[in-house]
Amino acid sequence: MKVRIASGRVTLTVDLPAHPPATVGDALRRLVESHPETRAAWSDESGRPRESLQLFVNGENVRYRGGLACPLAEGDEIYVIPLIAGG
Amino acid sequence: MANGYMGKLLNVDLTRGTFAEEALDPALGRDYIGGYGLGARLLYDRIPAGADPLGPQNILGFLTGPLTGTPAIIGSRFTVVGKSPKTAGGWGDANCGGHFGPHLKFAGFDGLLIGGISPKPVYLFVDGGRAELRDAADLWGLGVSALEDLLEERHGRGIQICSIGPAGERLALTACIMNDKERAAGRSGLGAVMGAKRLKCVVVTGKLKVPVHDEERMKELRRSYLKQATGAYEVFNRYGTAGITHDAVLSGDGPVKNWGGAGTVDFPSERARRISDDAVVGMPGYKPYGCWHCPIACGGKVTQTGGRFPLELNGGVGHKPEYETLAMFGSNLLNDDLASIVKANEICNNLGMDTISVGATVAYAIECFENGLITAAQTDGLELRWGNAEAIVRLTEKIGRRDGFGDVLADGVWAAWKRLGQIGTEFAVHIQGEEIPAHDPKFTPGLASTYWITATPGRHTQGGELVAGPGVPVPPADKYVYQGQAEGHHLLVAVVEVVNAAGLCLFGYLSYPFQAVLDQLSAATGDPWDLERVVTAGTRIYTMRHAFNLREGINPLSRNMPGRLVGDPPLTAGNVRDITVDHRTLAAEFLDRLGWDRRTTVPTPACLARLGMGFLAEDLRAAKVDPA
Repeated sequence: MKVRIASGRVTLTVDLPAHPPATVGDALRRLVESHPETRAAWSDESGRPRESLQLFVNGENVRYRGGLACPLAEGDEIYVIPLIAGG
Repeated sequence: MANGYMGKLLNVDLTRGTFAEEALDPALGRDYIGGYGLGARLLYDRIPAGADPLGPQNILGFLTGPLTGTPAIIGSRFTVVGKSPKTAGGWGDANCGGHFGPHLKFAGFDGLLIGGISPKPVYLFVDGGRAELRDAADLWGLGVSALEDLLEERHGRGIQICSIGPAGERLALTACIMNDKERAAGRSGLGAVMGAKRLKCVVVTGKLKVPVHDEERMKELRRSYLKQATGAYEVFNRYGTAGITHDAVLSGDGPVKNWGGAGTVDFPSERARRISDDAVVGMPGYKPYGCWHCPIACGGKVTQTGGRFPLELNGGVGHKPEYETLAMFGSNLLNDDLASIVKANEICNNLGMDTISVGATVAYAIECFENGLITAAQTDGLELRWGNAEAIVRLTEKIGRRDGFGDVLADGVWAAWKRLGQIGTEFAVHIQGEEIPAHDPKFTPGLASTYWITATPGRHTQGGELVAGPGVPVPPADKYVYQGQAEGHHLLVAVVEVVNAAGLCLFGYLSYPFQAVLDQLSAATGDPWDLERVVTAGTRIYTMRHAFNLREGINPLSRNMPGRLVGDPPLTAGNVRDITVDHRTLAAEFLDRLGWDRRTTVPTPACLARLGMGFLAEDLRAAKVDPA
């Protein structure tokens, strides 16, 4: 299945297995592999998604959907906010 | 003093029209650094308890830090300090960038301490260590833009100006102090203090050099750290803070519908995009610019000469609105008309008003109107509806001029609530009179402590979890577990106290490794700075500002906490739904960590002794602070 991963106004697409359904964590790991330029900002030294990332699936914070274990479906969009800072 | 300080303060008595130079006590610089740290220490001794903030005993200070005007990244900041007329007569301060701070030092002084009340409008002119008061009869009444143009014509282009607009002259508590036409020392109502003193502006010029302990090392550090930009650099460099508007609405960090709305449920993503990132920097004539020697250059100019809201000043060129303005006049009012926000920004800058306070007060008025608590008969015919851009712009102008209904709102939310007969209490979102900046404690719970406990309530730039710079060793914690947060909160508060007091920009702190702060302070002052010293000095500054309030009988635990900020009751939709922040537990554990009493917030004698502040013990023992 295809899942979109967006941040700001940039959207990338990743292919993921649908059965069993891939998770948000799977999608981010796949993205870092296919787009290494995201690695520094989105992954820690061990390759796990940074805890500071704010993640949303179809506009809802993944905190309400099981976090990185949130299952995905065809056409879902993950939105990533790498940093929230004062301004 | 070859350690980042000019070594001199200038005392000005406006009542008598006299000046007195004063050597800066090196021990005060060492212990309280500069900015509001030094300001709080000095003004604690010089403003008597109970003084009228708008009276002659109040002192308005303009203070730099040891890194202001040096090669440090980013040494552009200064702080205005004084007793606030806004927050129940507590401590007041407002931090600002631009070019004034460095040039105050180039003019010969680390700070200006201005007391008394002038019998007539004047301005203070400081040139290379010499100061004089000049008649301002012809300047009184001018907007900030025309004022700066006129003064540049008079004194030449080498001057820097801090001024008030008509709002400050009329003692509006939403008034701020402006420099570079569009940079604001916005909070605490200090524009009204300046207006009460009949001081229209401060003009500085000079070419003195800021002496530092090791200049070569400072330059080397700058070169080295400029190559290590990280954290928030990319977004701030590309968009300024306008880059976060959409994401703040989505995440629940930003205010929607006067803090009563639920993120993109009430202000959908496509509407938020219209006042965010590419939409803002995509405006006609967009041109980024920076404060003094800033490598980030988060500021920008835009051109708006046509449409419903043409800019009327500077040939139609104005400052691009930043996040706080975009949120407070945008999502907070359900307004996605970017041009109207650019226009409201121009009005606030020119009349000298804080966009956070004015946006919040407009929101209060709109919600009262929408709920039938006020009518068009009271609002001079304005239909104060959510998203009514025309009405928002017109009301903003009226507030700045105290015109009609604008007069009711000119002193901010708390004052408006009182003047209107205490209507719409739920809609009056403020803490002890300070309107809340556009960051929601339901998204960043530690902000509840920052907003509630800090000497200047309702402020997002006073440390805590929102402003965690890269490399600050904050212990990991689930932000929604309210026990066990005090260590991290304390660290982040103390660090920001030092960054602000040093004259550094918070955006530099958020965009470069934290080690840069330590290295630059060490190279400038000649004293070794490490994290432990930062925590001690930051805690000392935090305590000093708090002591000013305690002496006034202000207990932060007795301040109101708007239910909307902490989710009491919780939202039922959006990305911060079902959350109620336990701000009392956050605060109680933080007070324990500081060594402050849990009910009165008075620091224990042991705590004061540890910080070298034993001189406060007797005053604070005698302070009439009611336990909460």
